Amino acid sequence: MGKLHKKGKAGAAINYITRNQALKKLQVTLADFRRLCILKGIYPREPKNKKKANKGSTAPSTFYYAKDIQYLMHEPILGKFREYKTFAKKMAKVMSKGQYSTAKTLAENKPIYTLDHLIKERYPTFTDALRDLDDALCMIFLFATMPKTEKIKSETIENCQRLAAEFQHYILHTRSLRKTFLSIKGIYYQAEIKGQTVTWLVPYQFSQNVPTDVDFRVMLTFLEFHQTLCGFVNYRLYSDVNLVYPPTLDLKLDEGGAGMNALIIESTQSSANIAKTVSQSTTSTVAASLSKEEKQRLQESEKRIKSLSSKIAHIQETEDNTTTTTEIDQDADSAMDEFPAPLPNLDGTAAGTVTFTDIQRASQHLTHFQSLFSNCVIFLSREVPRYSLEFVLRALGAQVGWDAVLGEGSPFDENDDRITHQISDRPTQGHRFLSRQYVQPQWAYDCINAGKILVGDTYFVGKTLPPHLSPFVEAKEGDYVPDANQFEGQTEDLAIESDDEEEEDEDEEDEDEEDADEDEDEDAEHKDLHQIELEAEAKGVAFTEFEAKENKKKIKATKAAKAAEPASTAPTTRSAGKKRTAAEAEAEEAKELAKIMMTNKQQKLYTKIQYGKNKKAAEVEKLTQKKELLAKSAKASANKKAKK
Amino acid sequence: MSTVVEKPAPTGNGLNRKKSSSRKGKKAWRKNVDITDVEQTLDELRAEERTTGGKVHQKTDDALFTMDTAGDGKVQKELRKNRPLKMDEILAERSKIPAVSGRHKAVSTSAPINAATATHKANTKISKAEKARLLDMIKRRTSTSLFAPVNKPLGRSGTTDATKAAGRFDVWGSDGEQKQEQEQEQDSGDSDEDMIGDFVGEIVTKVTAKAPRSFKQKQKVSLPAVKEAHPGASYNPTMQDHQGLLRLAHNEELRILHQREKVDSKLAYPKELDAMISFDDQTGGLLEDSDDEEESEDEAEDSKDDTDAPKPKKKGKKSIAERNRLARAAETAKKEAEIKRHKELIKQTNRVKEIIKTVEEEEAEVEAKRLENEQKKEEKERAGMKRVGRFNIPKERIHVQLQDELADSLRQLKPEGSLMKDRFQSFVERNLIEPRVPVAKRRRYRLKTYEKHSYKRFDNPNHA
Repeated sequence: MGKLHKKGKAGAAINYITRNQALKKLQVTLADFRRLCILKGIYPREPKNKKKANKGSTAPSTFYYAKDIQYLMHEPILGKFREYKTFAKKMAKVMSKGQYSTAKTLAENKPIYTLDHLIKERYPTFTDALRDLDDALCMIFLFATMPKTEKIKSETIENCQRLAAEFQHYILHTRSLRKTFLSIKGIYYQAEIKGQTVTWLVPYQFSQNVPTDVDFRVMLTFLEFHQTLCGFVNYRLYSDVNLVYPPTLDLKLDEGGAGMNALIIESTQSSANIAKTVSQSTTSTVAASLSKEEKQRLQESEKRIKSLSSKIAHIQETEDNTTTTTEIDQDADSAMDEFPAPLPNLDGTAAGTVTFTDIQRASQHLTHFQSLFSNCVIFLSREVPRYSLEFVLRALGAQVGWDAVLGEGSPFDENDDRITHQISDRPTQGHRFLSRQYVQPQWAYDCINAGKILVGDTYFVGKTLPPHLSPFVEAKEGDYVPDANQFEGQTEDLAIESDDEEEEDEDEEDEDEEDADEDEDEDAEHKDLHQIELEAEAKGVAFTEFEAKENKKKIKATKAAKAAEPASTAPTTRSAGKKRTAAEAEAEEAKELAKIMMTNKQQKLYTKIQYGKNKKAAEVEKLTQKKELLAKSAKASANKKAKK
Repeated sequence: MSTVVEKPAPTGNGLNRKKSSSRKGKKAWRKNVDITDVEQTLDELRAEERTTGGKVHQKTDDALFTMDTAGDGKVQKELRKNRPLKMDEILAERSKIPAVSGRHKAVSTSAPINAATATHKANTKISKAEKARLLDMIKRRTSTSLFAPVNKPLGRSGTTDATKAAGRFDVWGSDGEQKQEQEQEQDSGDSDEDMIGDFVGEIVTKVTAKAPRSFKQKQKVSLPAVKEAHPGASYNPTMQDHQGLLRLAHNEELRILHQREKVDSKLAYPKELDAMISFDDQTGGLLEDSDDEEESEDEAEDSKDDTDAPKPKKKGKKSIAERNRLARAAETAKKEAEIKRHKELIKQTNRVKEIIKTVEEEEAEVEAKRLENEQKKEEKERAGMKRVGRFNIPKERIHVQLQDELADSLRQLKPEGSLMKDRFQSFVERNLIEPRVPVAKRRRYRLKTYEKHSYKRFDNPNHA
């Protein structure tokens, strides 16, 4: 006879534990348990049979894995929670007795816990953390726009704003933005970081009110974890591209509402001196909250900013021989990082085999995309959302200036003649500069999603806009894409015209500048890119402008490559009426043969599928014909008008 | 100890017997286990430390021994002359181990009066902001009273020391590992443990809890953190996409309506009842009882008659002839069946291939169905639980703007929905937290109502 099995000693009965059992086992309150679970990443589970898991009871209850809870008992944070409880008791006692000096010493020894071990535990590698960054970013960008309430402290909001700005700066620096979408909820962004697609949703500013039916305790716990995660991720991201983390905050600009421009981004390579001062100033920024110290901080940051230029000059003199990352290296890196992921509007190459040319083309496409706006100098009028447009435009290489109403720190004003585009969102534009195009904000987002610069006429101020399409919808094979040719012939070749403009600008600038430019041509590969950037910045050239120049060269190269290319990228789609080629006939024959080999059942299924496909194709054909007809009629009418 | 030894001097055997007292059970073990040797060794070690300032066995030979190349009797004599008294020696003995640095002492109420007045000033002198800061550590935000029940849980504000400490080093790099090691050392860095560790360390190592497999397992729910927006949710959508989204929202609304109707109809007063009442009214509710009973009785009688009609055959003894007949019939039937079976077999052998094929097909079908079921189950799991704990997971609201609500330009856009709710919904949908329903505060006891005298005066013209 086999061994007798007692009921409730094996299987679901001991694998699962209900929430109340867990509370008893851990000896914590429900609130603390919730916090612990969120921080540690322990989630409710569903047993196959609830009756078996709950001692025969079918009462509704939340289940957890018993082993998870057992593991939670070893969590150091659990101990800290208890310590804090006793601390609070002591503190209350002392305060009620009015023993304030004792209270102060007690407060100094307040139990503190950190979450870094949890981050490491939950995300063993950096890639794991990047995969889960969506959530963190959404929360941080959301809380960065929240108004201060009783539940949401201003401290929290500020921290979120800082983290958000830091992350955006990284995206700008690496040019890793890929897609954007303006929805009625908020703005979707998609970036590609180290081969991982990161999507996040940013609310429109000033639109967030605090809902009453959301449990803020839960939200704030999530936020706490996400802030920690984002902090560590930012550190890693910055150190990977050799930037100083945390970046210094220019307090004057920050108070002037410069937004993310208030952060001063510096490279770690430029000089150890700078890093030192940065660390000093950061410690001061973190530590102080009193007005006196604030003043000191202000002074310090001012001093630092002033000394920056002199330091850069110093670096320039003492030629840095340490060329750790040359421009080429960087390009190669980014290309290596990013080619395997799908690119926006990349011509559909066969998924089966990836040839070297495919990779090359993809990387070329990417570099072209990353410097999409590099020849644009864009001014934002006061009625457009700068917080989004500046990020989006600069992420693809534009130089952006804005109206003083939108905050301090604009590199140029409205009267600058370098401006190629002005983004405004009003019924009519009063005064107009002839040298620039006036477009509505949607133009920027559509350009990014289309992967090319669109003609501004359709987006002219006051005009009815073309629909804003979602870039997240991927058309399946054979689907009708209504806007496939929408932007055809609408792209601008800005590179040529702006070449001349740029040259003019250069004439205006100092002679030193030009010398530097010439130098760049020769030494760009050998010199440290960061250093060049800093030099340029010291001369008063904006970073973006500098980037634009750098990219101009790249574009010339890519253009040459493109000219050789068109034969290969020519569309392979074929309209129905034309004669078949030999290869196609062969393929058809092979299909027929395959059909013969099928079983009856399979054949039926196959015919069904084919029927569906044919139907779809017919629909598409119909729509395209309709479109063609419309286009023809439109052309004809235009011609008539012209004749008249 | 002044216990009287009753037994004669213990022999070797006697000692042994005394040692081997019962150690059965936890209590007995604790009482009777002999740890004097361990304690003795520890004491010896401590004494060593006191006199030498460290453990002797850990010191190098150079520290312990010196080579006496030339011993001198004279010196010894002289030393003996100036030797201090033993008493003084004992009194002057000090531990070589440095004293523990004193903790900042809390001001006790039992301190001398002078000191108390001196500290009193320090105690009372505290700025309002400072006081608020201190109270903020313990005070619950909701309580109005200054010293309301304490135990404010950690991390209510969203920014804690943990978030402030984030981003100071690379968790995934070498710094992170170093830091964690340091922390572990700090945790196990007590002096007493250290000492024991010297002896026990080789045998017992501190075990860190290993994460269970289930913890490392990813959740089966695989919904994205950020759902892709419907193309119709664009601020300036195409007509088609917008209609699509509208249809979705419409269908959802219809579903809710139908549900509500269903519930309402169940709760509503049934019309059938009305009909019954009207029937009752017609008959006056007088006749029905007697009539119905009679009819039913009649029916019962009828049915009895029917059942009586076919009478069962009487079972008697079978005759031999009958038996034989039956036996023959059975035999022929058996033979026929045999022949039939045989024929069938021959038939089947002729179409073995066909049968094999059908069996295979059936098997394949079963396998396909199994796979399909498995897939369905997986999909269900991926979609997440529909209900966690007491509450169902609420369905996400579809946010949509009607044709006339759509903005002409970005400036005029009125955002729809709350992202805070959206996030919360996402957490719940992905089963990261259980769904919750806000609980309204209830009164602990019922509020009693009294009628006051003035209200009793109904004839009062002021009373409404």
